[in-house]
Amino acid sequence: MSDTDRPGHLADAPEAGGPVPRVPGTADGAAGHAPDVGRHALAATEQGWSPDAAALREEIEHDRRSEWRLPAQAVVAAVVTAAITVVGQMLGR
Amino acid sequence: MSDRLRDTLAFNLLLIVGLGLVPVLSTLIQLILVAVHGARNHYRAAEPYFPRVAVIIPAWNEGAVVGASIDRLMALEYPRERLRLFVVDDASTDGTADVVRDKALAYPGSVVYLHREVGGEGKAHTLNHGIRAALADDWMQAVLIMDADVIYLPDSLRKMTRHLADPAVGAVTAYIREGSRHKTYLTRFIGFEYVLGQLAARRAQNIVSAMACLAGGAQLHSRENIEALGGQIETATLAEDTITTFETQLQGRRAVFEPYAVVLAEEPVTVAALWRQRLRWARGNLQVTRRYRWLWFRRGRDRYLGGVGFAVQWFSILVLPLVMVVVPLAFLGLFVLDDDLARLAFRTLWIAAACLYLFAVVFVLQLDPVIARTSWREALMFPGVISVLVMITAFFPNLLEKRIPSLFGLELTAGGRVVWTLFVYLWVSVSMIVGVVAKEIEPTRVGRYLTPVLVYLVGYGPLQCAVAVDAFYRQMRHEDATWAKTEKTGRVLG
Repeated sequence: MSDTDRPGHLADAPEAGGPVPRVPGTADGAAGHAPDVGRHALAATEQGWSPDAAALREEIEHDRRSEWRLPAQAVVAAVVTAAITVVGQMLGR
Repeated sequence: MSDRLRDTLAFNLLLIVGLGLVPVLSTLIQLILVAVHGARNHYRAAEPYFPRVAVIIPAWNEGAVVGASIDRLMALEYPRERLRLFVVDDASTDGTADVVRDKALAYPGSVVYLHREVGGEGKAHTLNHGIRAALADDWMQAVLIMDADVIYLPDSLRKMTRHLADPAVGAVTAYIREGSRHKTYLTRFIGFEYVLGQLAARRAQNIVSAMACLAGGAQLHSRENIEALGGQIETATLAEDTITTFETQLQGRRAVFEPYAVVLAEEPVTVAALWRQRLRWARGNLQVTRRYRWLWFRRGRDRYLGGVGFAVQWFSILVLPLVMVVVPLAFLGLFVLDDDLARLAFRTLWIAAACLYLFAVVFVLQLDPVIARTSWREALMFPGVISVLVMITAFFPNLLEKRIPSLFGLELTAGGRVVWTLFVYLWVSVSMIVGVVAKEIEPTRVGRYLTPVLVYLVGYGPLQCAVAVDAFYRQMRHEDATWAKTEKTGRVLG
């Protein structure tokens, strides 16, 4: 088992062992965290996608709120189950 | 037989029938916990977070799919400079190497080609090769373990990494959605199974802070976590995903399921391929059960994994095939001892199962409308057409025995009624045998048409239980546990 010496190999990667890249605006000591500056859109750039902290926080909040559908969906399922059972019992007599 | 002996026998047989209620109640509790996820989830501790992620892609003869996978990964909504793909070529004999080399040139510095001279040792060995390379310097802050053929939806990775902002979290997994472009009856069954087993069950596991398994195609680990695991994943079992999940939690870190991170995967289209895949999973789970025998039902050893609730959930699935064999035998015994008691026990268990089935189908289909649109029929037929008839018999005993025959001017004789009764009592055991028949005849000309019919008749659930029985049998015989790759053709929805 050995790594081959081909383009793209770890040893050839320009960033291998190099300085840690940071997202602009990242606070010191919190490497990896998205910048705390808002942008209006989740923009795709030539360099790839750029994060928008405000929009991402809103997305987390949206997903958190979406989870509140679960109890309602469980109630719907319970009501449908009860209705089918009762109607079935009536028809089955 | 004395009355005392008869009563003792009947009591013990009723206890065995009661065993059948354990998986029913366990599933019900799990579904109730899913609803609790609305109030108790990890989103309050999540925040936008973009660690430098090394993506490990094991590739063995993935030439048909790996190029598109790389393109899609590079197009993820994630800062490109924080993403590096390590494609580990497990001594492929197709064009995998050329495809990956081309992509490495197209994405300089972002795609790393790794080659194993000797392959075929299994996915875990291949992954470890990539993990070692990723850990070789301090660039990597998190590692994503995936399959070459899966497709991450653009927002999936960033939805996973946001949970790693909480240092208590060591690993995050995503929702693997069945995503074959050309749906078959089997992929539609699997689609529903994944909603039930992931969107529902893993939310419940989030609640109890005990994750059974991080999906093999979507495991995100913090660097600290993967280093705490020794910088590698388990290679000695068929369940490296589950072992990694357990070890993460036993080291004191949380494993979190993110339901809105969606990963599309191509799943088996034949019963034989499905059987091979699930046999590997089932044997792996048996290996896990044995390996962690010191953990089960011992909350003191681990607060969550050792809890009674998690153990009941784990063993309910593990011993379900055994329940499907012994409970019908108990019905039979009761039938011999006391027909009325047998009927009462049968109706109690099957009505409970029917209510759970209805509740589960209606609830779970709401969790993923995409799958609901394509798989609602398979959801309804999940236990099998005949089992649904057995449920109807339990609910309305006179319907199939008297009313429907009377519509045609027929009447069941006493002998016919006994045969019918024994059939409904024993059906769940028989269904597993029919599942085996469905697999065996599949390669034949008749099987091409008959196998789907048989799968709808016996149900997808009993088919899985038949696989589990096969797994028990092979483990007891200590058969070689080789890692067999599931054939993929790149037919996942783009």
